[in-house]
Amino acid sequence: MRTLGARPLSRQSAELPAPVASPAPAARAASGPRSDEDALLVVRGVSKRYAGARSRPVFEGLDLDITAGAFLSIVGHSGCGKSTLLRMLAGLEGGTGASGSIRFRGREVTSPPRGMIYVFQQYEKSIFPWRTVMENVAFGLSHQRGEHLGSRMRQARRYGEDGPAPRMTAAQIRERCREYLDLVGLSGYEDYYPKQLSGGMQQRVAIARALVCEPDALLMDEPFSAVDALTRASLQQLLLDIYHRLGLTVVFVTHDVDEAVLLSSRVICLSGAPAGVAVDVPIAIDFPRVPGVVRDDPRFLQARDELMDAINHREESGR
Amino acid sequence: MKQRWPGFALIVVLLVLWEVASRQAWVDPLTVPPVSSIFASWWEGLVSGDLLSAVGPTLRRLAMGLALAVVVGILVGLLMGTVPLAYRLLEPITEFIRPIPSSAYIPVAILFLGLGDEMKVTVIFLACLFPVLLNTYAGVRAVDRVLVDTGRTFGVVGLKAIWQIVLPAATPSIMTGIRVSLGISLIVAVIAEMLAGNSGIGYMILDSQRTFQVAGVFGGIFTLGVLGYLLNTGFLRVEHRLLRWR
Repeated sequence: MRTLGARPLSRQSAELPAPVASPAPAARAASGPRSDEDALLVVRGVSKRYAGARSRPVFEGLDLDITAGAFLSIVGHSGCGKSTLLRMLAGLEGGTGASGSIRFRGREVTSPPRGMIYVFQQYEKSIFPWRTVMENVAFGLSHQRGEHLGSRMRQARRYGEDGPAPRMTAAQIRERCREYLDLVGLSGYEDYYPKQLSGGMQQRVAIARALVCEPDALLMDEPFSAVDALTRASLQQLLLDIYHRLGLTVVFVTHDVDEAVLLSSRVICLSGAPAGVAVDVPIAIDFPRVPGVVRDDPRFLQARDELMDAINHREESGR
Repeated sequence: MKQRWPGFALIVVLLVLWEVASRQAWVDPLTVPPVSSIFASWWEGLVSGDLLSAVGPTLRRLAMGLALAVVVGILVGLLMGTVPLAYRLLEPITEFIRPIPSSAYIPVAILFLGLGDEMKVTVIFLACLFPVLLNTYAGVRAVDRVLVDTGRTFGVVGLKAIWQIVLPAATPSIMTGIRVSLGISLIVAVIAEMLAGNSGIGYMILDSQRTFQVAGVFGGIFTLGVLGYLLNTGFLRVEHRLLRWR
């Protein structure tokens, strides 16, 4: 009866344009990634260094494929470049000092692409304090759908065939926002201003605002690191539920290995600067997951140990 | 109101003291007439409409000059805050004009614009412009990067981002600038009216003084006090409404 569960999950593959010729054959040959042109996000030979004379590269020749429907976590020491990588995937990092190719749905990422939403760690700075909860959530929806863009003609010219769905009325927008506010457990808070909410609730607003756009990919940068332990546990549970119900693709950056293993279908650990993928660990535990059960699963423990080893190893060799 | 009565009581006590001092001739009643006679003449002016016909032109000039300053100040402030070239281009000239007391260029303004409203509105505009402009600029510069990036991830960039993200985020700072300008506007309006023209509160005070109607001088000053209070109260209401999310 609710439209939420009935989201057409095939949208991602249906909209995938023809594969683009793969660049940088040398880089591919060097690390030998599998040829996975159907991946939602394809990273090839990406290097990045910050401006400045004494800067070391953050990472060099990085390859990564993120398939549709995956929950990929990126872990590593602070300063290893995992947040930088995520910002690059999202098209938020400027082009300076970067090389290589990042493609989302087959298109080169140069600015934040449609169909991908980035959730910031600093939720208190990311939600608009002058907008109510409802207005915050509607912000994402109306813009992703091109509500304020004027004529349909202009929309079509701008976005082509896979452009925004037909314009929604204000009532339809409110209805959709309510559904997602309900999903994150914020029913009844529609008319509150952010300052009236706790940190965990503010991050729920940010998550609802991202989800209401029904993105193909959700990129999250340590989204739960600034909330207390209890709130964090409930937000993890929420994210597990949403991931399972909506069939999203999630790229998740965290420094908490337990959190990464608990949530993800795959975890990569970045090595120190210049970073590459140190280990790539699939987590073969079925969804939906119950945190209490997963934490006792031998596969959970094994994956965690493997990742901890990788992190500690780099720490020893770095000294 | 409960916490404010001591302040009002002090005003009443001072007024009574004034009244007594004048009646007992502790001070010269000719230069400091009793409060009661000042109020009597003020009330007379209010009832006859003389006072309102003096307040009207002052308010009109003030509103025009301030409104113009708010619009131009916000636009230029936004431009300087978002376009580095505009900042580099306009920053030196702003820093040069800003410290000049606006009353200093009244003579020049009279030379070019005459004694009428154009001159007064222009002077008020120039005096009010910089607090709005500089506070807008500062507010725009202080908009958090995360907020702008949030807009980008939702596809809100360019003018839309300025309108929907930068401007609301800078509004508290802009309102601070407008509040400063509001105070300045009344000062400059009165000075300009005293120096040139034949209408407005400033002219009324000066005219009363020239004709030795001391009660009229004090009445005009009292009127300015009331006017300033009302303007500020009105402003606070608008500010509270705009910033109710804080």
